[in-house]
Order: sequence, then C-alpha cells, then structure tokens
Amino acid sequence: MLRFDQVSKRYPGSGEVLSGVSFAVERGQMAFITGHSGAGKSTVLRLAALIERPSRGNILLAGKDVTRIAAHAIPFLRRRLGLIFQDYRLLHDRSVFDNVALPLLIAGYGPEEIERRTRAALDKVGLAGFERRYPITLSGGEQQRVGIARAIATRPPLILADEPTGNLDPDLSVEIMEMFRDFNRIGITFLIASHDQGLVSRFADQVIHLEHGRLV
Amino acid sequence: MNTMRTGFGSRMSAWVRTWLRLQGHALFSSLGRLWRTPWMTLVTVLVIAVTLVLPLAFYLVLKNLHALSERIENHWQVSFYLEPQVDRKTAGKLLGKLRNDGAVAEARLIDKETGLAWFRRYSGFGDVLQALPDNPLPIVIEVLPKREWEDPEKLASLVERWQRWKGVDFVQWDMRWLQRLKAWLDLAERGAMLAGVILGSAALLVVGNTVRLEIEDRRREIEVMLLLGATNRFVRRPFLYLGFWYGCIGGGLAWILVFGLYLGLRPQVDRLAGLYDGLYHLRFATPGEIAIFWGWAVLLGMAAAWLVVSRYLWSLRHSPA
Ligand SMILES: Nc1ncnc2c1ncn2[C@@H]1O[C@H](COP(=O)(O)OP(=O)(O)OP(=O)(O)O)[C@@H](O)[C@H]1O
Ligand SMILES: [Mg+2]
Repeated sequence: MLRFDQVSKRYPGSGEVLSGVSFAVERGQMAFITGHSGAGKSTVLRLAALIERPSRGNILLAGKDVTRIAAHAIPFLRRRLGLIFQDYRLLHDRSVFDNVALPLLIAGYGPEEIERRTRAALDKVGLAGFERRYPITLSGGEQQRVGIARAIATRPPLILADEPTGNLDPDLSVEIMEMFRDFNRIGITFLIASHDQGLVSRFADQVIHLEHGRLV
Repeated sequence: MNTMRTGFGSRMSAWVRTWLRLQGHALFSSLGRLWRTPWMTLVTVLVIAVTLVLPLAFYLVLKNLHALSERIENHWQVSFYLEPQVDRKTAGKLLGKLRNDGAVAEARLIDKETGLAWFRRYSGFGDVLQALPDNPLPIVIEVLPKREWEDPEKLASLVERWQRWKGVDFVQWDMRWLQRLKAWLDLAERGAMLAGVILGSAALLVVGNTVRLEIEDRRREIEVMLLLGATNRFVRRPFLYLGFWYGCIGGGLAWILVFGLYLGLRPQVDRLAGLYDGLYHLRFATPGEIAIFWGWAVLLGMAAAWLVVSRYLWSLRHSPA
C-alpha cells in the first residue's frame, strides 16, 4: 500500500530530519509511527501525502512510484487518501454537512451522490443529525469525528492520521481508535502517528519507531 | 465499436455535467459571498465603476468629435474672390480654365447678384447694403478639388498656385483650422488611449487587491481544499467568478454613470450645435460598443483575479510552509 525506500528529508535550512528510512505498510494494516517529539513522525506522513518531497529515496503509493510525480497529478493522488489532523482542520464558516461534503465536491460527485455519501459518512462516525451544526458548536471529540467523516467520505483505501487523538482525553482517544479499527476491518489501511504508548500497544498491527529521523 | 463509442460519449457528457455543476456552484457561491459583505462589495464595485467611467467618457467624446470632423472634412471647398474690376465674361473664362484643371472636380460661379442675395439673407446686414449705390461684392468662384487632393499639404500647394492667377484677388481655404482640429483629435485620441490603459490598470489593481484580501481571509480554506485533493483550477474558480462579478457589476455601473453624464450634457450640446449650421446630436454608444466594453470589464476582473490567485498558489508551492 505504502512503501518508503531509503527516504531522506532535509528542509531548507535544517539538518537531515529523516535519514535513510525504509518501511512498508501492507494493505489492511493498522500501522503506527511512534517516536519522541521531533523524531520525524509528521514528516513521514507529509511525505506520504505528497505535501513534501523527499530529498533522497523513493516513495511508492499503491505500487506506484510517486517520488517525482508531476505537481499537477498530486491532487488526483490525494483524493485516494484520507487525511486526519490533530487540530481537525475543519472550515468554521461551513456546516458539518458542507465540511464532510467538501472532498466529494472536489472529486466532482453529483449532488445526489454527495448527499448520500455525506450522510453515510456522518452516520458511520455517529454524527447523524449534526448536519446543520457548525464546527465551533461541537466538542473536541465531535469535531474530530467530523474530520474522520470527511476523510472516509470518498472511501479511500489509505488513511493517514497525524496524532488524531492528541487533543482528546484518554476515553475519547480509545473511542476514536476503536472507530479506526472498525474501518480497518472493512479494508481501509491506516498509518497513524502517535506517542501514546498505551494506544499503540493496544491497537497496532505494526509499529514504525523513529529516533532522530532513523528507523529503530 | 458501437459500445465503445457510447461509452466514450456518456463519459464525455458526465464530464461536461460535472464541469457545468462546478461552474454553477462557483458562480453562485461567489455571488453569495459578495452578498454577505454588502458594504465592502458596494465600495469596491463603485471604485471599479469610477475608474472605468473616465475611459468610457473619453471614448464617447472622441467618437463625437470624429463624427463632427468627418462632416467638416467633407468641405474641402476653396473660394476664389476675384478682383472687383473683373467682369462676368473674364470670370467665365477663369471658370472654364478651372474646370479644365486636373485638380478640380467641380467649379461654379456665383455672380454679384446672387452673392448679394445670399448676403442679405444670411448676414442680417441687408439694410446697410440697400443704402449703397453699387453692389460692392466681388464675383466668387467655388471650387471642389478632386479626392486625391483632399489633404491639407497638397491643397495648400494648389492654393498657392491659384493665388498667382491673373484676376484673382485671393483664394480662401481654412486650412489651418482643419489642420489644428486634426492635430487635436490625434492628441486627444492618444491621450484617451493612455488614460484608458492607466485607468484600466487601476481597475485591475482594485480587483486584484480585493481578491488578495479575500484570499487572505480564506487562506485556511484553500490550504484544506488542497489537502483534500483540490486542483489549482478548483481553488482558482471561485475567485475567478469573484473577478467576474466585480467586472460585470462594475462595468454595468460605469455604463449607467456614463449614460447619466450623456443625458446631462445632451441639452447643452444641442443648444451649442443649434448656433452653428446643422443640428448635431450628441451620440451615445451603440449596443455593440456597450457589449464590447462590458466584456472587457468582465475580462479585466477575471484577469486580475487569475493573476492574484495564481501568484498565491505559486508562492505556496515555492515557499517552505
Ligand atoms: N518546515 C520545516 N522546516 C524546517 N524544519 C522542519 C520543518 N518541519 C519540521 N521540521 C523539523 O523536522 C524535525 C521533525 O519534525 P516532525 O514534525 O516530523 O516531528 P514529529 O515527530 O512529528 O514531532 P511531534 O511529536 O512534536 O509532532 C523537527 O526537528 C522539526 O523542527
Ligand atoms: Mg508531529
């Protein structure tokens, strides 16, 4: 599903943030990236989502080498990914429905299809009936569930989540992870950055541990 | 073969439908956005309209001057005032000579009596002339040069030649006045073009700046959309429509303002024209001209938006985020 081959990354004006990182996440896995703060977890996810380009090495997505893919092709690859963020990244001037519908609108679905998939996604995260609410009126856990609904609305085969429970209390975190596991059981591959050891040992099929930009 | 073709056709039409839906969505959502901040929108649109009014007004003034000068330029008439002692017979010979001149298209003689009759009718000094024992007016020959001589410099040389003929007192042609008018028109045309370019760029800047502020406002939204797989085109679209609306509403408003100016000026011009020979009516733009300028205003708005958004998207890709 996702493979890193000897990937290194340096940002302009920084040292090497990742050095020769290689790993593979197979289809259907529930994989976690762990490591101390600054180890490079977010960087791995940003590279996988093609937000950043590697300085060296190759990245394969669904068997396709995307290392040097043209900029204009990136949007179409992103539509096959679900992205979930620690700070949710919701649009506050749009309703819950419109937030979840946004990736569908971007992908060019028709109005009926958007309506159907958006409701289905909200239903799956337990937010049926929240369509007309605005994100600010929701709790942190509910906002993250809107973020998850948005990520699964297009039914992507791979979801990348960067500390999705970083802002949530332990009970809510477990609830969110259980939701991920349910989606994982119906075939979605997950790669989740987290430094919550408890969650990782409880839910991980595979752990990618980074220390100072190196795989351990 | 057949199934392939229908497959392709239906995919094509699905694509077109998607495209139209996205266009429609962007068109009306951008209008909705304008509506949400009505004062800001009103001020922006007014500024755009005002910057467009001046070039439009210039254009109309030039158009009217051209129409006027065309009328005048039809009058390349040259008048020969013969010396007082020249009699009717000698004048007839001169007339024949002129008619044989290769440069002359038409020539006609106005004898003393006709001249006097016209003078009485048009000058308002008829009574004064009545008191004179003799008719003091000379015989006049009016000449219309051929087309190829309808040029101020050529005609001037011609007039100089005729001036030396025997029996000719003086040859009159208001060349200087025509030349000056032409020069002024050229200057005005160039000035109007320059003003159009400058004020057009001003409108471009106004729209550009407004779109820039809007982008600033929606930075987060753009970022999220790109993360969700939006193409540059998708991000650009609502802003293009924003530019479209600014150009469309601003251009329409500019025409309304210019029409107001026209209505205000028309009575004055009519009165002024009434003082001269014919009645000249101030002309407004034709529907075609209105459409073209309006189209340009819309294009201008969209171009400004396109430039600003593209620049922003470019800067996103080329700066460490
Ligand atoms: N845009 C950037 N420019 C320069 N350096 C960067 C940039 N982004 C990240 N870094 C550096 O790269 C290193 C790894 O950052 P990264 O965000 O991947 O760490 P992380 O493992 O996600 O940490 P955390 O657990 O705190 O989120 C850090 O030292 C960080 O300072
Ligand atoms: Mg991080």
